[in-house]
Amino acid sequence: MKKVVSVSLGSTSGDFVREIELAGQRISLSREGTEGDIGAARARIVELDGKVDAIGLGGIDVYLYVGGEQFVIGDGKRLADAALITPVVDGSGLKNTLERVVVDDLFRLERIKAGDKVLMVSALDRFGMAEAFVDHGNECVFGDLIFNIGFDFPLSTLKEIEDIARKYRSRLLTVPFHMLYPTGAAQEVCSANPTYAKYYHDADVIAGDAHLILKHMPERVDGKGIVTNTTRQNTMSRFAEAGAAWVMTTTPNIDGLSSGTNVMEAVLVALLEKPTSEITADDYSTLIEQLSWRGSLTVF
Amino acid sequence: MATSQEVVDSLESFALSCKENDRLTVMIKDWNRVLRVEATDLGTVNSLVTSGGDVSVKDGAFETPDLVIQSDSDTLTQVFYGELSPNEPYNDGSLRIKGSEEDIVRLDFVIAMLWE
Repeated sequence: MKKVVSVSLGSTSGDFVREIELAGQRISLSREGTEGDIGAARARIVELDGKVDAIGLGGIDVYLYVGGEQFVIGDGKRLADAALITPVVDGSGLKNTLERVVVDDLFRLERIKAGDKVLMVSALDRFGMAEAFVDHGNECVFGDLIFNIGFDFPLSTLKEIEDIARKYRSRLLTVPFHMLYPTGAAQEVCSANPTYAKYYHDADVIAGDAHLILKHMPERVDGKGIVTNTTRQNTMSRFAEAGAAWVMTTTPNIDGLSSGTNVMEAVLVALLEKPTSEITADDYSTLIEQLSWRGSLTVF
Repeated sequence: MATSQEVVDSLESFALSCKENDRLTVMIKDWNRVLRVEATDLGTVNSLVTSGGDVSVKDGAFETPDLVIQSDSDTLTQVFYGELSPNEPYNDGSLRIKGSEEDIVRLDFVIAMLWE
C-alpha cells in the first residue's frame, strides 16, 4: 500500500486518516496539523522521510508561480528541504491545472458568466485561477494587499499582481510566513474588518483560500458563489449559514473530503512513481483525466 | 557613523519618496501611524508620521509610537535612503523593530514597493 502524509501548519482540527483506492492502488492518506509550529512540522517531515511515498506540505507554499516566473517562499522551501529522500510537494504543481479547469467548468455549468464580478481574496498563490477568470471576461478584484498586507488597495489587473510579486520577491524568502498568512489557531479566528466587507458585497463570486475567505467574511454573503478548496463540514456550514448560493471546490471530493492541493499533488506523485524533477504538467493532466478528478459543486 | 543630520536627511528622503509615489500614497491612506526612529550610537530620536497617505518627519519622540525602529546611524540612513534592504540587518539583529507584526509587515512592504 502506498502511503501519503500531508504535514500542515494548520490546526489539528482538520486531521484525518483514510484509506482510498485510486488507479487500482490502495493508498493510506493522512493529514497532520502542527498548529503553526514550523519546528514541529520540520521534525515530522524528517521523521517521515524515506518511510512514506510522498509528503504534502499544507498551510504554506513553497513556490508561487506568477506571470510565468517562480517565486520561492523561504519558510516553505526550508521545510521541503528537510526531506532528503521522500518527495515533498505543496500543491503548486497542480493549482495551475485543476483550478483553471474548475473555472472552465463553472462557465460550462453556467454558474458564472462573463462580466460577473469576482473577488479573489488572494491571487499570488492562485495566479492560474486569476488568469482563468480574466480570460473569461470577469471583472476581478484581487485582495492580496487588503487581506495579506492590510492596505485597503484592491488590485484589478494581472500585471499589478506580477509587479507586486517581483517587488516583494526578496521578502517572500525572509518574512516569517505566519506574518503573511494565518497558520495554526489563527486560521480559526474570524476577524472580519467592516471596511473590507464592501468587497464581499460587491462580488458575485468569492474565490481563493478558504481560511482567508472565512477570516474576513462578513456575516452575510447571500446569493454568492464560492470557489475554494480544503472544505470541511464546518466550512461548508458556515458558507451555507451566511447565505452562499453554491460552493465549488477546486479539488475533487474523495471519500467525503475536499483536501488541499498539496494532498492531491502528493497522491499523484505517489502514483506516478517518478522523481518529482521528471514529472511534467502533462503527467499531472493525464493522470487527473484518468482519475476523472474534477472540482465538486455543492448547491445550497 | 552618520551624523544626526544625515539620519534626518535619510528620513526626509524616505518621506519624499513616499509622497512622490502616487500608488503608494493611496495604498497607505488609512495607515495612520507614528514610527519612532532611534539611532542607538547617536542617542537621537526622530519620528516618522503617516497620516492620510502623507508621510512626514518630526523632531523628537511621540509618547505612544506604533513602531519603534532601533539601529546604528549608518544602518538607518542606508535603509531609509533605499541603499540597504532592511531584511539583512533585521535578520542579523542589528536592526530592531518593535510593534505589531501587522505594522512591521506593512512598513517592510512600503519599503519594498519603493526600492525593490
